[in-house]
Amino acid sequence: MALEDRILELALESHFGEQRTPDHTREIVGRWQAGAVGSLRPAELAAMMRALAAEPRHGHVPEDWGGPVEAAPEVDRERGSSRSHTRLLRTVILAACLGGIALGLAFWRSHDRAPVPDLPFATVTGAVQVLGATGFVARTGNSLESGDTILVVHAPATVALESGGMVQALSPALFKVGEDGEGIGIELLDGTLRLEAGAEPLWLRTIGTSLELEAGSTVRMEFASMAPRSASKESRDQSGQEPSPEASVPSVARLDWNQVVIQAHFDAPDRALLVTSVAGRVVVDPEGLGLVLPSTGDALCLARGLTLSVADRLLFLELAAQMLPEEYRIWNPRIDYEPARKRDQRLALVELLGRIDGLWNVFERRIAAVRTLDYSSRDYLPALLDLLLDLGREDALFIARAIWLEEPEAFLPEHIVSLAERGAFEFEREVRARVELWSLDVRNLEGVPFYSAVFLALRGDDAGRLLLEQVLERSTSSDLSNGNVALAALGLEGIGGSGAWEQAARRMALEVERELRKGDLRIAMNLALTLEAASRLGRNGPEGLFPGLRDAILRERSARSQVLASEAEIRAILDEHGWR
Amino acid sequence: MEAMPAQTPLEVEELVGRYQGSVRGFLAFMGCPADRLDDLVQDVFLSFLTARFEDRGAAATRGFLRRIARNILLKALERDRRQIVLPDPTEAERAWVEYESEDGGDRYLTALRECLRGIRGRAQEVLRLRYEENVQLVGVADQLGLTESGVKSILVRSKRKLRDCIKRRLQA
Repeated sequence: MALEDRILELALESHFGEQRTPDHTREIVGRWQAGAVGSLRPAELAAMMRALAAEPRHGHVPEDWGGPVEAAPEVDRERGSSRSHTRLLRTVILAACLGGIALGLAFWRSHDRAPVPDLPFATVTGAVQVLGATGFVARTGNSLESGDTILVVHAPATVALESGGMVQALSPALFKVGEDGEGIGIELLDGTLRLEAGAEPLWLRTIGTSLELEAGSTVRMEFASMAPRSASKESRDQSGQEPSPEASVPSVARLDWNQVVIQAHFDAPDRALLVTSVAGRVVVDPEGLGLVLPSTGDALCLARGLTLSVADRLLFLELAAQMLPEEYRIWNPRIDYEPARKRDQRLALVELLGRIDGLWNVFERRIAAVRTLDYSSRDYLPALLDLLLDLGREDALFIARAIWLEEPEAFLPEHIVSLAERGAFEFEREVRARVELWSLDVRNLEGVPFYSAVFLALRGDDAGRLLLEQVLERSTSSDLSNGNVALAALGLEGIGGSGAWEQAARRMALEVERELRKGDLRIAMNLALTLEAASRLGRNGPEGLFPGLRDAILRERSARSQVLASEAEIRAILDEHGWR
Repeated sequence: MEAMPAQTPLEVEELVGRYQGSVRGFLAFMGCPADRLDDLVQDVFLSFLTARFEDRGAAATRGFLRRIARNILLKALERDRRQIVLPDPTEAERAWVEYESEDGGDRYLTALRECLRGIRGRAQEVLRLRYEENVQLVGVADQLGLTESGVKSILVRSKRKLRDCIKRRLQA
């Protein structure tokens, strides 16, 4: 059936059968929420707790976790975006949160866990899960009990109360339901964020009908993890004191929304910096909270101060983004950026960042804080990976591994292959998984892991070689212009592949001629320049294929296209390389 | 150009409500078996919600959803070991974008509605039974006292007429 007929058929069905079209909204939202929260099975929890205990910090991939692709990729394998990645991220988040649970259990176990029927919740929206006090079993009832844990995995999330009240969490958090002398309440356990009204934590019973944090509000937000451990509710009750900013802790930051006063302290005697106050303002835009600082200098100072803290990684990212000169805003997650846009610019950025003391410690912590960020803020990660690979530092691999655990989908194919080249076993495993997944059948070339296949083929791996051969065999004329077929041919040529490049080049040259005869100069030019760039890069041998042959081809092609305009010039390229 | 923020359930509902018709239509257009359609529509949105995506407007969102839909359909067919010949991706994309245009296909459907007014008599009844009542060709033939090939012939002629009429209206 012709495509136009198919469309008419669909339109007729749509017109006549509108009432028959099912509405999937509820199912999708339900599945999405279930996927976002996950089901906390005791065995899974136990495994994650063991993994945490074995390796509480980053830098190690437990062997039994498997690679993201191996789990079951759904979309766009080559870029690594898949539901399995989300599952991994979710698992990591849950695992981290469970650490908080474990720490808090000792305290909360001393509390009465009697049912408290007067605190029911009507609905739970967003990525929230209520866990019972014993065994972290998900509760299915509609009332909270003392000892329950409220786990907010993805924010913003809302717990609506039957009374009409509502608790809204703007960041992933862990609440514990407990009781004091006055009744039941909640308190954060993981140190992510503490909401306070005056000097008191916000308790459910004091919230009233709603708690909404918005621009212009004066709710004070204290990053609990920046306060000394003695700032827990229990100890404050005993001492009757609030944590002092001047306490001998690495750093304290406090911000009052709308009129922001940020204080940064650190106790390293050999550091001259002491930013006691930075006047700034917080803006709330559709993308979320933003922090605008008055000057680059102040921001830099504050960032340096926070660099040495053990705490506020989210704030640091915002500050680091703000401190950069305009031309380096590719770092800023709130501003458009194009990864790998300009290598020189990136290198300059590396140099600039490299002058900041302790930056790499911050990166490490920053990665740990990724889980507290929303999607828009995570978009800086591909750029960070570019930086890491450009820099070639010894700790680059360490940091990349940590990012891999938290955000595997941030990795572009070239990142993964570059890291595999450096001997990182998990990336090599990922490369192999991607290739093996695709080597079974190639229906079209969309999503084929070219880089991974070339990498494996050059190491004598049959799966890589077979996939490249399939690519060449099944590629159509429309596949020739983007450089991937050239990359595959060069890869095969690199392992002594019996004239693979010669054949591919001839095909491309013939296609150029065909397009010229059709009068499509643009396609002919793209093909000719792809052929030229690949030919030049391929002369360097297999080691010249990485990193970024495809980018190099596209870059060179783009530059040459500025000066190439006529049929004669295009034919001259073919003549120059003897392809006619 | 901003990446999609983390969505709330309400935002997800709104997104699904706005685009599910488009996704469903595209999957059917690509040849998705009817028994897999509902599952795959849901899978497309779940993948979309977990994917990195920069919101550049409705057209780009539809395009991204189509890309996911195509991948998911291919994998589903592989998994089910079904041998279905899918249309050429480039041609399919062109035809679908032309149909959906920037209004999600409203203009095409408006033209169809207007053209249907020109279909009268038995042809009108055949179309109604076939598409509104979802009656198979044999059933339509039984109800109207025609042969199956007669019904088929009426459908082919009616569709050709509709196609020409729609084309004229869209070009006007």
